[in-house]
Amino acid sequence: MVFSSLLFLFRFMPAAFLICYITPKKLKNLALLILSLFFYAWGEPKYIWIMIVSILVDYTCGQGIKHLGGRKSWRRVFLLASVFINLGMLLFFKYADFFADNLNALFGWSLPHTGLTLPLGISFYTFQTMSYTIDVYRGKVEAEDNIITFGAFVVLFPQLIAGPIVKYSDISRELKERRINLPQIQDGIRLFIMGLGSKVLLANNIGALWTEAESLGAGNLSTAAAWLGAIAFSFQIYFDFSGYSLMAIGLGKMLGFDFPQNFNYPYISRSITDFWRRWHMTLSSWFREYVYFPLGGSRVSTGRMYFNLFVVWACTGFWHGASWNFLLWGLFFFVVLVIEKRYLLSTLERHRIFSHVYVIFLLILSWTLFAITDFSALGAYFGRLFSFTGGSDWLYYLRNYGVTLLLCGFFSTPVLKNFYQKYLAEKKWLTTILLGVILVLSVAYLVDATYNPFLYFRF
Amino acid sequence: MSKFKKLLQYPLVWFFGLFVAGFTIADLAKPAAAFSDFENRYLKQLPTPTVRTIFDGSFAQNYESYLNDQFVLRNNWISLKSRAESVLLKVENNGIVYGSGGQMFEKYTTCPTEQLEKNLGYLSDFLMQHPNSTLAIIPSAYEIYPEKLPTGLKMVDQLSIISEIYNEYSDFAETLDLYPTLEAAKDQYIYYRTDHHWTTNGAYLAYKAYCEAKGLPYTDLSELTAHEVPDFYGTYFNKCKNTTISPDTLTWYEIPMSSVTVDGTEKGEYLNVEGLESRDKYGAFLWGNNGLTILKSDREVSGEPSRILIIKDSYANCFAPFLTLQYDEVWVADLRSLAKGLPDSVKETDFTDILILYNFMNLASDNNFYRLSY
Repeated sequence: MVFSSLLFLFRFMPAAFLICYITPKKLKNLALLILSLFFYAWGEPKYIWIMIVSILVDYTCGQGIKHLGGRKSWRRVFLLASVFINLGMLLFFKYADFFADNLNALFGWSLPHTGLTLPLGISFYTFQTMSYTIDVYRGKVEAEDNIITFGAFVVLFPQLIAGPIVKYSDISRELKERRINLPQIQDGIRLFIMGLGSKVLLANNIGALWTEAESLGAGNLSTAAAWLGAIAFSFQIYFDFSGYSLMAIGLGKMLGFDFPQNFNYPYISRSITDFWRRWHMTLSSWFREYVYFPLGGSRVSTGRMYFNLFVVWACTGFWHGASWNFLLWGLFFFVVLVIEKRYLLSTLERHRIFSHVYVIFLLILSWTLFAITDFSALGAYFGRLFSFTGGSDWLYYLRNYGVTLLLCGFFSTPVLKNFYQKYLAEKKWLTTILLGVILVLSVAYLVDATYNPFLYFRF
Repeated sequence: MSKFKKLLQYPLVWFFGLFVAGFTIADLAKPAAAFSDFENRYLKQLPTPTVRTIFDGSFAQNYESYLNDQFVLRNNWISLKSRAESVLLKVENNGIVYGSGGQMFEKYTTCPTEQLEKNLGYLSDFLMQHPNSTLAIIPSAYEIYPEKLPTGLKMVDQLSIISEIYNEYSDFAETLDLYPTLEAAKDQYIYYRTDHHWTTNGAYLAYKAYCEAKGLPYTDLSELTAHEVPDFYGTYFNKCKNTTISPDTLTWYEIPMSSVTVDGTEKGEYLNVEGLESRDKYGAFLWGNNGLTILKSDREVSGEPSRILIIKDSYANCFAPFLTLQYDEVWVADLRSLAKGLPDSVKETDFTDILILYNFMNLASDNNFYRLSY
């Protein structure tokens, strides 16, 4: 089930909140666990066993480390078991077909496809549960004794399928003792509606422009239209993804959880280094903490440090999808980040306008690389971006999507947020009316939904 | 009271709570509708869950479509979205483009080439076997009124594909190019603004062109009694719901016939007069898209009657009646409604002429042409 649907808004959500609010404190986690399992199983019940295995494996590993932790070898066994099983599931479901295709192409084999669809959100929850066992191993958190509480963490529906990647340590306190009060619920509702609007009103609307450009193919676009298409995708992925995270954070707040921030106006960055501190923050911090630091981070020789960065960015790219273009996308950032680190950062610091143009230009290119999985189509699209082809098609796109593009640009900056904090935060009635308009419009777009894609089916 | 006051401090909480709970309850209480007049289509009904449909996910999918189709105040939400799109200064909604002068078009930027090739294969086989056939492809309105399209919008070049097809077929089949006729009459009301069909007057011009090409006499429109039906909102309107656009007027002519059989049932008239009252007014012609319709002229026939077979899409529904002025019998076959292909009665009948009449878009996308073979 996804948040941006009538099913969630007018069936699951009211029922879930009603149940969660009236359930006595002691049983709240059990209620959350059952509701979340239902949420996950809706539409794909055959994969519910993955959730159950996830819970059982990491619960057992955590307990194993806790009780047999006196002996180092046992600690290792449980840690490795968790990592192997979690990564194993991820590799099997997400990458098996990709590896089969490539091995077949390379050696002329004929390995069969698994023919499986990717279980919803598997890239997110395997990372979340792994972080638990690793943190228990490192002694950073105490193993959870109550399997219901632990199960509720693993399948917690707000953050289950598209982030933010919530580590156990982020919410271990709230899992045991959380307070739900009106100010927090109000805050949660505000964030949820903003997230819903981002996804349904901005991302879906501008995404239609990209879909049009992509389906026509680079060969049928003018250069200007190709750029408009790439810009549209850049906006779509941002508002879709950040909107989804915002909805998750809002729902978490309504339930008494404080999830970590996931996006912080990434498009106003003045360097790609800065961008990655603002984009999908929970993913980059996950890779920093569980891959980059264990490899030695930057406290090693320069050569080794670049190697570490290389590994992290190859993994980050590959995490986004089982296709070569995602790997290239990650390595693109590796190269840019190394260049920035060695030469560019101080220059970018000094030149304000240049730094913004530079970041936006590189990001548009990176999103084009991200958006097109087929290499020949990708090559053709880049060709169109950089070899001038005239035409008047862009006039239509600009006319049709101009206002939407402006709105997307506006909402990519913190102007509204600053205005809200300065003038609106205290005007509760006015805020309610504005958010009410966003909610009503979002529902209208969901009812007449001709275009409401779920972008993370590959994640 | 203090609790109520406290709640008042959080207007967003109660607004959101009431909004979600209110619509949830109203939606649960609302009985499911079978048909939407507003959208002119059947709505999804509540699926019954079975072990199989739950586990393969199809129940979940059907339930969501049911929820969307039956959502309380659905029509109002759809109108609101259409209005919001206009506020964003968009010149299209749900694939319908707003041209100038209230003329709407379907956004048609890519041609389903593969299906078209397949259809042309079946078609050329048929034309070779039946040398008394004529092929006429009707271009869509935007080809006649390209100046009404929004600037920069590139649509499929139907005219050049049509002339390519005609060139290829020139060796073995008669073709009728309707473009010059329609283009010459573009100042008249020959295509609906809110519907994808041509108007009855557009169809009449094609009838005249066909008769001229065949060397047949034709009846002048002034000899027929016309009736006008206002407030026709067509298929384009059903999709985009742009309420700022004014409705079309549908015209029909009195054409006397001795018999009209639709799939074996005698209807008496070629026009379903009651259907003119409903939303889908165009559906009144020939009683909608039926498998085989036989129109018989009211003239005295001596000897073997002259017959024409029309294989067609819905554009021919307002066109076919005119041909009873020239032929004793007009047989109209719609492949989409003939699950078993052309009926034996068609295969066993001798036709003076055969006309294959399709709009370009239907010709390119219809996947029932395999039923043509006989």
